Amino acid sequence: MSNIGDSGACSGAKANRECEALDVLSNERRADGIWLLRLAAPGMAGKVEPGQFAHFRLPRFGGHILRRPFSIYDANAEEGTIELLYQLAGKGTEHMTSLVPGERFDCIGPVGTGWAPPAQARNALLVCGGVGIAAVNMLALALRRSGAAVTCAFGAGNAGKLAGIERLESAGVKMLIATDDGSAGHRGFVTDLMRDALAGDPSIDYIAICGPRPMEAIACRIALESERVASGEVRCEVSMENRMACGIGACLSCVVDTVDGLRRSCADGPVFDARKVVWR
Amino acid sequence: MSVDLTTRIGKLTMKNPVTTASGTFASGMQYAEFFELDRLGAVTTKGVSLEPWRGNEGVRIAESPSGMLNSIGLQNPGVEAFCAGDLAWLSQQDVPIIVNVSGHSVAEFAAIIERLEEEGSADAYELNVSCPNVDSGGMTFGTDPEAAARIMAACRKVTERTIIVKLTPNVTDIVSIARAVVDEGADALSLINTLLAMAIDARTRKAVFNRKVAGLSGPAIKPVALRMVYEVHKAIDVPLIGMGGIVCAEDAIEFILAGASAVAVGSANFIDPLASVKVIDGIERYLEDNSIGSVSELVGALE
Ligand SMILES: Cc1cc2nc3c(=O)[nH]c(=O)nc-3n(C[C@H](O)[C@H](O)[C@H](O)COP(=O)(O)OP(=O)(O)OC[C@H]3O[C@@H](n4cnc5c(N)ncnc54)[C@H](O)[C@@H]3O)c2cc1C
Ligand SMILES: Cc1cc2nc3c(=O)[nH]c(=O)nc-3n(C[C@H](O)[C@H](O)[C@H](O)COP(=O)(O)O)c2cc1C
Ligand code: FES
Repeated sequence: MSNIGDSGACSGAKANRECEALDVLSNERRADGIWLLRLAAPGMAGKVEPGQFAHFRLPRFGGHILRRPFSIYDANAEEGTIELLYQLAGKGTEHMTSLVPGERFDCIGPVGTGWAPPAQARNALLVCGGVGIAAVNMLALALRRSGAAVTCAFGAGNAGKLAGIERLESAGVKMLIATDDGSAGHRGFVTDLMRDALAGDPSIDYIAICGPRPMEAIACRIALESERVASGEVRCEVSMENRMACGIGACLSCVVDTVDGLRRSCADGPVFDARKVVWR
Repeated sequence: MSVDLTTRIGKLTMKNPVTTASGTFASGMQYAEFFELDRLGAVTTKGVSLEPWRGNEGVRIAESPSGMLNSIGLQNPGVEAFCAGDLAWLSQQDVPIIVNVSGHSVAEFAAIIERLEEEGSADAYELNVSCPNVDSGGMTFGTDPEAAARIMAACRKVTERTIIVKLTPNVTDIVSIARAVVDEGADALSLINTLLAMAIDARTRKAVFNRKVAGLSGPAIKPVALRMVYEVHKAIDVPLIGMGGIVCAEDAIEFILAGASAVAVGSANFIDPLASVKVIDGIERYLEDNSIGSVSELVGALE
């Protein structure tokens, strides 16, 4: 079944921003309810900044009109590929498990404003819950390449839902694991690990947070309890993933409340300065 | 064969019959990254109010079969900031501008237009008396012929430019509202705004939106929109801008056959940022393929 509104090329298109047609290279289950999708994206792969995302129009998804936003989990400029790490969360993500190599679909990206660690960051703490690891993976790898020490506190429901650890560990990222049921690592919240890490290591000079909204709220609160974070001496950022329609800053579907007023998650974010976000 | 796409809406001349539906295109700045805005017949801006409006709290969109619900609540920076920002930018682009206007009262509608008249860069105004997502004003004006007429009369006093009134489908008799505003000097009508709708999450047993109700748009509403364009066209001789679920040229042609002089592409911009340009190209191709010299020949040409 073809999609609503599928039509070919048009005249007068500009190349500043494009909808790129991506080929599926592989699509595999990586953990309980978490899949990894590899895509050929020659136009985009070299342009991705850590924390950016892309906005996907799923193929064979007739009757659904909204695109689905996913963080770019990893990008390989030489091979011209990108990867998504996605969690089954509803109709679109369940449909995505049926994608097979050779299928093509349309994507706008990379879009959004990603992470902005200070250039001199030497010791970063990344805090992520569940598939939030998809938004911090490229950041962790980039920080490691720049020589910074990186600790990643990573929480999930249980051991079966932890995806993405190996790639970070093999880049020399120190992983701290928490699960709700204690089946791996600390039994309890990832924010417990974060609190301990911050208390035990005064040299942490950058914090990045991505996960379910309640986890993000707690993690930001913990970070801001530190005078050095509250004053801005240590930068703390959080990726705020909201429902999106246009994905390019036009429709105001995705706004985040900040001390500067409402900001668009898709264009001004998804990454925001934790000091600016207003939680309610 | 060269075909004539020129379309007239009151005093506004469009080089083709396609504009953008308010609120789905901002002022075009983001879409100008994808295509040259001068391809469009006109840009219709997001609704602008007298003071800044914050819009609605909580979830603002949801998907529904072949459609979507929105509860943006007309978030906008107010007419002053709009003039200094988006309107100043848009007036540098080579495309006619239709400014969509929203007020809480008759006086506010007129005051916004007076302020815009000082700038002088709008080519036409579209009065949104049909937003289902705000409590005071909004749709309540558009469901009452007398209230809609009062707004139209007040705005007519402050501008000679083309005034388009945007109607809500959430009424029993759209023709009576249409007639009321045309009698007060409306140059054209836009129809339709979103359908009043609701989404519920069975898992949490809660309404998805804080305001409970929201506006339904997209292909799901196209048959309703077509019927309303047809009814108004049959009853009243006034140019219509048809919208509601247009995603391709064939949809646009259907609206034109039903009686629309022009069409607006809305939610389809979210599916494909190039949707409006593809609709223009497709209309041109349709005219060529059917040896029709001018798009105006098709308006209301339902057989
Ligand atoms: C910037 C950004 C980056 C993201 N990165 C990832 C990622 O790397 N991996 C991943 O698994 N998920 C990610 N998400 C969340 C992902 O977009 C949703 O899980 C997905 O859209 C759900 O679609 P669905 O059809 O399965 O769910 P449905 O519930 O059927 O979707 C209905 C509608 O709600 C929207 N929606 C539902 N849940 C969410 C959500 N949590 N966030 C945003 N929109 C939602 C959908 O896009 C769709 O429009 C990201 C979201 C954003 C905004
Ligand atoms: C996200 C969104 C925002 C909208 N904002 C406005 C607005 O500010 N003013 C207005 O008159 N209509 C607004 N509308 C209604 C559209 O302009 C249009 O009338 C409606 O969506 C039907 O067309 P469509 O099905 O092609 O989207 C909005 C619609 C959507 C989906
Ligand atoms: S999704 Fe449209 S503005 Fe962010």
